[in-house]
Amino acid sequence: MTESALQLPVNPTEPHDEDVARLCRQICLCRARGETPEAARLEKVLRSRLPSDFDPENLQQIFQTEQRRVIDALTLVELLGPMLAERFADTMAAKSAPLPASAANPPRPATRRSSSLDIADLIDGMLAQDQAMRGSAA
Amino acid sequence: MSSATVDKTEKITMPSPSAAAPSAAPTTRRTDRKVVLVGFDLGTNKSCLLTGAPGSNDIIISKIVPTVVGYVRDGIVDGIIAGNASVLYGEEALRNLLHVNLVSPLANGVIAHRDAARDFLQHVRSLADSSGSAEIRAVVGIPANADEAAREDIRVCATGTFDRVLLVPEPFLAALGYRDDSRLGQPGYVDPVTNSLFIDIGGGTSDLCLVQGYFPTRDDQISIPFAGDAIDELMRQDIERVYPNNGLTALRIREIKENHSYVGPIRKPIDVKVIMGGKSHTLELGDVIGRACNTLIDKIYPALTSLITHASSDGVVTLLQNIVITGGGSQIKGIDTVLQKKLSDDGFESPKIRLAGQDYKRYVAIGALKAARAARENQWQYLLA
Repeated sequence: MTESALQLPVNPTEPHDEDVARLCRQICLCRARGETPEAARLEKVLRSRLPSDFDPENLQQIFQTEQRRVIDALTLVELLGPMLAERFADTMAAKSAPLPASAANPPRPATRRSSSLDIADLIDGMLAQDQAMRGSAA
Repeated sequence: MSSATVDKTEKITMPSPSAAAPSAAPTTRRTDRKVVLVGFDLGTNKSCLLTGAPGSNDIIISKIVPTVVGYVRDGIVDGIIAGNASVLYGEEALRNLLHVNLVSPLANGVIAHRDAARDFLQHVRSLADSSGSAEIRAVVGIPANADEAAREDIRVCATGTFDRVLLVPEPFLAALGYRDDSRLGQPGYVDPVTNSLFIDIGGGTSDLCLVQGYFPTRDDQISIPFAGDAIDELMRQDIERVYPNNGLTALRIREIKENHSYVGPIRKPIDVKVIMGGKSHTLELGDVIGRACNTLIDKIYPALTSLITHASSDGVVTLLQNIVITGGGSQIKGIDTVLQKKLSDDGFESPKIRLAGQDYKRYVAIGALKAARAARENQWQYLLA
């Protein structure tokens, strides 16, 4: 990704929210992919290009909007990807295989009986549920 | 770039799309500020705050603070309020009831007054970190099934106060807090996080939650907007009907409830001394208290049976042995035995309901602090300051 592709308006007194939003979106996307150094670099770019009088609340709002959009997009990919792959595989198998079971009643998460249940894993479960909920609400 | 610009932008902390990238690499921290972990039970009437340092199991601060903010009224002469403060919090606000406009930031478990909530959280931050410079990472308890708007309200009010947050349903945190980590793996010890049902009766909501070794789904949790405050209101209406113009304040009625609450068959007499119109009176409130508290049973029992029915059939017998009541409602006399008897009478297999015990006010916060200690870097949600 080149920095020139993410350039903000040259005139800092006329900020364009859409440009800021695009850069915020790229930062969120990089973080989601685990590309932390690139995210940090883009963050520096964003900061250096922001006009000094740019409203922090506006920036916060833009960032949160873009964060949500990235999360929603990733959720969609996560949900749609396996479905499309399955459909594609079914088609390739001359439509002879039965359709996948309805997702209307998704299975309950597997119960873990270990005495050393990891809290971080449970939090992961919570975040995945939140993500799915936001995805379905979108 | 001017130094002024640098100063401004250095305060900006970008939120991390942690939920979208649970496996992403940890975000690089840009400063070396001291980190304070906070377990926070933001309750409708009382809040509990615990703090600790990363990498340690010690609790540095443990406080229970009434969730109220008192804005000092205009015209109060100098010296009446300590330090001539304009805003008071918690016990101090209650002690100066005559001189402040008292605001409860929460109602029914969710934020009802944003400005007051923001002020209250700022106060909490000052308790957690007197230096004002530490990075605060807080796990905050929220009612089971709190919707996105309620969560967003907390985030908005915590912005600029906490640096990173995780919002976790309260009954699940209660289970984590109730778990005795030192006994994990011991024969005979049933980890409450593995198979239990928690009933957390607070001021604004009663939350029930199945905890069965995975993070509870929405279907595993039920939040009922009937709890301590609703009991107070029923009592107030009933007392008003029998003793019109009694002048009893909401705080006095809550105090009466906390001293005399019970469920089950009506107990009489329960004589309570009150001051009305400057004169001492003795009111017999056995009926009033019993009716109001038994309404709670009527509300939560259907939710309890619904969750038991919903539980995995493999572990339901063990589950019935591990039903725990916590929160202020656990102090209602007879609540465990009445619910247990109702389950028995309805044919449930050997139910056993226990009370969380004397730490009932702190379990959510204890669980929250455990979660804060265990959370991975990429699980925290950043708040933009």
